[in-house]
Amino acid sequence: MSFKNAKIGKINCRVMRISFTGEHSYEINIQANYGKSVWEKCMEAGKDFNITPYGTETMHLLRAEKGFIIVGQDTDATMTPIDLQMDWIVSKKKYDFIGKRSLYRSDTIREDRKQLVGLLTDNPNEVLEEGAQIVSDINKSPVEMLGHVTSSYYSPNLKKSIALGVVKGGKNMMGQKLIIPMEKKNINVTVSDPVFLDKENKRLNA
Amino acid sequence: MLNYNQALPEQKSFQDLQMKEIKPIMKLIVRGKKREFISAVGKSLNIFLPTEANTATQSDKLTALWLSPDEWMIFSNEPVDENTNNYEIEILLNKNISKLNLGAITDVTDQFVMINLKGNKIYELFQSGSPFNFNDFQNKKGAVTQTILTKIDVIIHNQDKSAVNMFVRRSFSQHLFSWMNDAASRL
Repeated sequence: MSFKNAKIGKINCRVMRISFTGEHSYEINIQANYGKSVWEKCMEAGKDFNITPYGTETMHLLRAEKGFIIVGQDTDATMTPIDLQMDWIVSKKKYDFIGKRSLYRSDTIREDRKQLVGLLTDNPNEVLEEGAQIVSDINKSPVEMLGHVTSSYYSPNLKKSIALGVVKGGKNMMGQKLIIPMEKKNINVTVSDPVFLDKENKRLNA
Repeated sequence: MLNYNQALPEQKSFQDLQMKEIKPIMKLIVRGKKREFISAVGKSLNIFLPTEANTATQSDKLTALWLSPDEWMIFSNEPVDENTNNYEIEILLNKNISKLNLGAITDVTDQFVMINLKGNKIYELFQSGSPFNFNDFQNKKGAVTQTILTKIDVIIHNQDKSAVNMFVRRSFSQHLFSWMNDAASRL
């Protein structure tokens, strides 16, 4: 997460060490009229290394494997960094900042708030539907909704279905079995860490 | 060396109307409220920023368009070297404005595309896709307006009689130019 002002020929640009795919990657920021040329030069330079362009669907899958959220898809306006298990991103040293009061109100530090978790289906080939509800007891009346699936994919790297979801008190439910009730059947899932791949950041810092 | 790819490579000519992109034109947005800001820009560039709404001022090398009470667009009157994006004027303003906390300088050279229109049918074209009343505008050299043309935000600058500069965001420029081409063919 750093950047450097640089030049390609005589053209000023900005190179960022930033990754949304969980891999060692960079973004080059340059004026629009030189963008096509930078792309062509990168593709030419990478030819010997089998450079491959990829689209947004691939990018979404790669980021989900690494547990990187999409704000607005995996979160809504009620969620805090603590709910996302991203409290590491909030400074503990700053005396004050915008939002600090909200972050530590009694309601926002409740243990049973909806928190981001990973979901693994018992059947590794079964891909959950995004938006599906998550419950623990199907026989309870009325059935208590604990949360919902926010992102779901089949991961070719892991050769199994993976999903992200928000679950009430999810942080303390690792390994617990939950149920996704669908129209024709109930799907059994296990709550897991939302980071499915490269927990040690070896690919990220390769 | 990187190649320069302009947004609108085509030029269009109709009877009494010619349209083309002028490139590369250096464009800067300058913002500031302090009195020292206006005088520092004036001293640095030898141009007075217009204080009357919807007007422009011009020097040998630059034109300044009023966009809001604390915002102006400054652009080069002539195309700049396309092999570099190091603009002396931007460097000078960064030194004399930004670093002294008098205001903000933002390079928008490639964010906006400048389309130059010439001919007697410019305003007929505008009237077919804009709600703005151009009656006074077309007779006032240096007039500026921010309006919409076929639902796209544009900045229009009356450069001279029968000559207009229009600024549009790059991502909308091809669609707008295609519409202008179609509309002009029906005038």
